[in-house]
Amino acid sequence: MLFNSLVFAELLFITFVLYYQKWLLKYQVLILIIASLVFYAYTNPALLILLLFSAGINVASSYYVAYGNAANRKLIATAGVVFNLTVLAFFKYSPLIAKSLFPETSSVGEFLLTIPLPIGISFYTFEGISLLVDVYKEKKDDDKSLANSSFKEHAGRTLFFISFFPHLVSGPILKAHDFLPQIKAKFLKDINWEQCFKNLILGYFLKMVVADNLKDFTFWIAFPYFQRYTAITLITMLFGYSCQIFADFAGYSLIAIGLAQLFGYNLINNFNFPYISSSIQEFWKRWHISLSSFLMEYLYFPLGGNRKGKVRTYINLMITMFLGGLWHGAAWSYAVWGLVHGSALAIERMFKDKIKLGSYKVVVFFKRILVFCLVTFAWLFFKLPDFSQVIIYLKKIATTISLTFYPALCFNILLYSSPVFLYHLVYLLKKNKKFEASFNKYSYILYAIMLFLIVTNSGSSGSFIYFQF
Amino acid sequence: MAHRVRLFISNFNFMIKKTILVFVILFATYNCIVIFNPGISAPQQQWQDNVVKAEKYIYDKSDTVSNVILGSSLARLMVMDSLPHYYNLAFAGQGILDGLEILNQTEKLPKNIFIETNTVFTEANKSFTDGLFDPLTFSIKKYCISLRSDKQPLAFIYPSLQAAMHKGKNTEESKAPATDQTDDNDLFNKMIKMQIEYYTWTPDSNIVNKQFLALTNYIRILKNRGANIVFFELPFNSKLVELPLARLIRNKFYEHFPAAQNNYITMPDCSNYVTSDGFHLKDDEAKVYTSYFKKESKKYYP
Repeated sequence: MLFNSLVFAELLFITFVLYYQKWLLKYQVLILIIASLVFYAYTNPALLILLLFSAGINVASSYYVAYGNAANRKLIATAGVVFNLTVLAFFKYSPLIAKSLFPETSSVGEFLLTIPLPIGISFYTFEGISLLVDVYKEKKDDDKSLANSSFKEHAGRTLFFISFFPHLVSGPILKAHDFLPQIKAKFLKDINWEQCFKNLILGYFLKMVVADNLKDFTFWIAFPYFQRYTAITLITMLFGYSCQIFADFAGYSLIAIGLAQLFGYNLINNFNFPYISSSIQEFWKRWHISLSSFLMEYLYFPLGGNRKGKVRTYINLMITMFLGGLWHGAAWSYAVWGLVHGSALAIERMFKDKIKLGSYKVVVFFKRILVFCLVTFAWLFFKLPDFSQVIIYLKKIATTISLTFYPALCFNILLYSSPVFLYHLVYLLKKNKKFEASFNKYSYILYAIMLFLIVTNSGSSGSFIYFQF
Repeated sequence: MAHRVRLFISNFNFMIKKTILVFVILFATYNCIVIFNPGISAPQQQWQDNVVKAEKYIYDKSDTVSNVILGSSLARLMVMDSLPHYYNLAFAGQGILDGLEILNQTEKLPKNIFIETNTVFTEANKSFTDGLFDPLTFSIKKYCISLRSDKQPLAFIYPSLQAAMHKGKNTEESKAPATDQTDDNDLFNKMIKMQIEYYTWTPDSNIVNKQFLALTNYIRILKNRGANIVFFELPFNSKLVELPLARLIRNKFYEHFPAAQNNYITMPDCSNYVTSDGFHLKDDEAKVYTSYFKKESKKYYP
């Protein structure tokens, strides 16, 4: 079910009305669980089986970690994490394993290729891991527990944590220690309407006006169509795709945050103006924050982080980004994308102390441009999952440099990308208090324009890019 | 109940109320502009162009048009200025089933329906037709024309800028190229190679039967509703014409819709058509074929 579909609006309305009925106050969590399961099962009810099975294992193992035999806690926690990773590997990476390890005619390979990819699996398995690790760590360090002592209560809270519909299929990836303490009775009077409204308008604007329109112009990046264009058009399309993927995912995250706020829950802010980053390290602190912080907390730090010498730090960065890349999809190009970022992070760290460029405005400006260009070119691995096509695309740019371009296509890409640039620019300008005060005073005009464009200028409805992950 | 709704609305702060007020003013103003200039229209890209074409047919043309062409991006290239009494419902990137579904769902049928037979294995795009006939949006768009796809405000910026920039200039000179490169031999050869590979492939018989079953059902319904059907095959590169897939499609059409009981416009000699990529006609070729089509179609329905 898409956030921008009529059927979702109906589900949301019914859930919202029931949720805040005084006589149903003690069933609030149950109402959200039911709504979430309906949301998830709407297009393919069979997917519920895996979600419920996965949640069931996480409920049982986390409860055992909290209240079971102390001697077995570590073993159960590890088994639970391995289970989550196995589920993810089996359903997500079977096609990659089939293509990489088995010949085309092999029956095992054929079987692996038929395994469907359940929507949202990358997100809810990571949340299962977070639950187990957090419950284990909290129990070990403070002898407290995130898990409720009543198994029934714990099962309900865990299922709610994993399935809460705003974040279920595309994140933000929740951490148990952030979300579980928020579960309590919620009241209509506590809703921050202005914040909800702003998040929802901005989110729907980025998704429906910016990303959905850009997608029809950047479609031509696909092979073999891109071969008919020259360098300027190819580069413009790539920058358009960079804005599209931001608008699509940041839009989704803002909608998710706004929807969760309607029910009294705060989700982690997933994007913090990533395209103003002046280093790749800063980029990863601003882009898909819930994933990067998850990878840092549950992978980079356990690998040793930067505490085991320079070489180990570089290796740890590469491993983290390689696996982070592979998390996005079952194709080697995603891993290469991760390695490109990992290498950039390692190189940056290597030269950080050796080259001092100062913090002059012009230097920061050029660093921002450089980071944006690097990030944008790396998105090519997302758009063209076949590595050879990426090479052809880059070759085509290099060999067709001329002033010829396709003006309508380039103009429209720039037009629909401009809100993304303005969004970042306003953030920078808001550092000036005077500007911020006037902006806040008249921001309602901007929100009204966005609402007007959502109604009159939305693109054709498309799935969110991150659904496939 | 009314008290609870009032209480609910009073929770909204001043910023939200101001936003909604400005939105209402903007929307009302834009509606006035569109109502007083109903002719303005600006599709921006292929997908939107398909929707615009379909919406124009559903809301404006279906009552008056007597000849409709259905097809894919191949038939879409036909020069409609030469066919003033025809409406082109051929969609780029989509197939004939979408056009058939639109006709099936509209109240009044055209007298004559011309169906392209070149591409038959493109699956029906359900989200496209569902979007057009969604009960809520259908009714809203029927009466509120500012919400139709060709009235998107941002779509008017580029044509307006272009018009302003080229004011007084020779329009032919100022025309933008359709694509960056039109005569890239290397690319053309690559495309032909890909098309040869594609046309050498034979689809699974289940797929063939499924598509022809759907097609047969549609044709039966349309014929029962009184429409005349004419099939036509657009010319394409002669290297592809006799390849297995092209022959299979041709034979299947004759098998399901025998020439003795159905009308066909014969494909002209393909050696005169090079095409831009193997099967899409070049501009001048499209002009030539359109004249041929016009002449041939008159044989059936003058």
